[in-house]
Amino acid sequence: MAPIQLRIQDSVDDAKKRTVGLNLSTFDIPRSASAVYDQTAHALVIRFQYIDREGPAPAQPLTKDITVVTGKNSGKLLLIRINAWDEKSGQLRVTFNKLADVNRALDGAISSLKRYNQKENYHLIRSVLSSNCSSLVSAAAG
Amino acid sequence: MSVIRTLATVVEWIAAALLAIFAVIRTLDPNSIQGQIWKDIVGEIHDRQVEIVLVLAFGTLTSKIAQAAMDRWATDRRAIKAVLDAAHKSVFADVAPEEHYAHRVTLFRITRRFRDLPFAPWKWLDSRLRSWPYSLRMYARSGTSYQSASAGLFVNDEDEDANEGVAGKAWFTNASWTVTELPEWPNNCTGNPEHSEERRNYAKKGFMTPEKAHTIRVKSRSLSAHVVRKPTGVRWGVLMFDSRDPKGFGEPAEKKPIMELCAYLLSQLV
Repeated sequence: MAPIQLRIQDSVDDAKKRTVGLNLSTFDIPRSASAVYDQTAHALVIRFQYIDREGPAPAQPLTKDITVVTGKNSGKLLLIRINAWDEKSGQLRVTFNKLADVNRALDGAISSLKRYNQKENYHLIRSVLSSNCSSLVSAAAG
Repeated sequence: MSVIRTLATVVEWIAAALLAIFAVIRTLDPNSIQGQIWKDIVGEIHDRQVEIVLVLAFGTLTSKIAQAAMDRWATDRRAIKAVLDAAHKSVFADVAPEEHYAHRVTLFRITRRFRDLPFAPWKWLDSRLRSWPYSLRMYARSGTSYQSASAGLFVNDEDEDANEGVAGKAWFTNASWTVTELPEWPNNCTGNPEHSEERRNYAKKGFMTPEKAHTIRVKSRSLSAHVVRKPTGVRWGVLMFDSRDPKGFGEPAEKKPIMELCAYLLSQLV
């Protein structure tokens, strides 16, 4: 299945507009984002591409259904994996509710993060996900 | 990598010099030498000619191979200087040539200086003073003026307040910091910099102590610092744009993409 490109320009432009004071580094602002449904693992995989090629740290579960992979050194989000198995309905699907869970999980993670660059990168990714809900649901639907 | 490359070069020089000395010693007759020690040494060298030649040839060859291999990763200072000069031309494009020296682009590298080692025994009692501190030191600078700087900016990943200057803050936050319209540093004050309100104000806005600000030769009034990372994401240093003009970057939003592009280019060169 071909990955769906996510619209990130609005969120990225907001980050880039800020000039004076403390700002996110260009290394932590994603250049593109894509979503693909992994049919073997029954999971929606969202990848973020950056200007550098930092290696991944081991995957960390945020919740039972949501796992993230961050950069080994900077801690920026490289990948989000959302388990598509919905226990309530007993079906394989990614719903808007599930995406809201992702946002909640990211919010929870943000509050526990200490590094500025990582915190702001998570905020940016959250904003990208919020503005791409429909694309993500359709990516999961195949 | 550059340390290994330098070491390989030194090994090559030593091997070449020893080969020349060996060639001279070979021509000497051990029996014609007066001192017993020297007689024994020359005799030993005569007895082990093949081994000595092999070891020296191996040393030269290995160091040459190491240099060639390291060249791939060694930092290209000329390319870095070219990036900094190009950045200077772009960011300060509207500055008259005679004013260029007042606007600079500097690449700082994280390092630990030998002189910062906590030698004093009283420092060993305090855990904060006991550690060997890291500091940001000038690695390369645009243009031709102020090409050397002895003052480094201390950084500390465990204590935000211990990070000196806008560059130190950019290092600590692993991000970009831009400060404009810093107040003027009063040059007419004498005595302890801490006792002047204007100097305290300047230092506070520049994230350093008045004493530290006093040691810095150029008191810039606009500063923009961008962390430089290696392609693997590890922090390497800080790219700093500074100007004596309080609005030295003009419209920062226009200059930001150039600054970020330079930080990226440098990340590919370091």
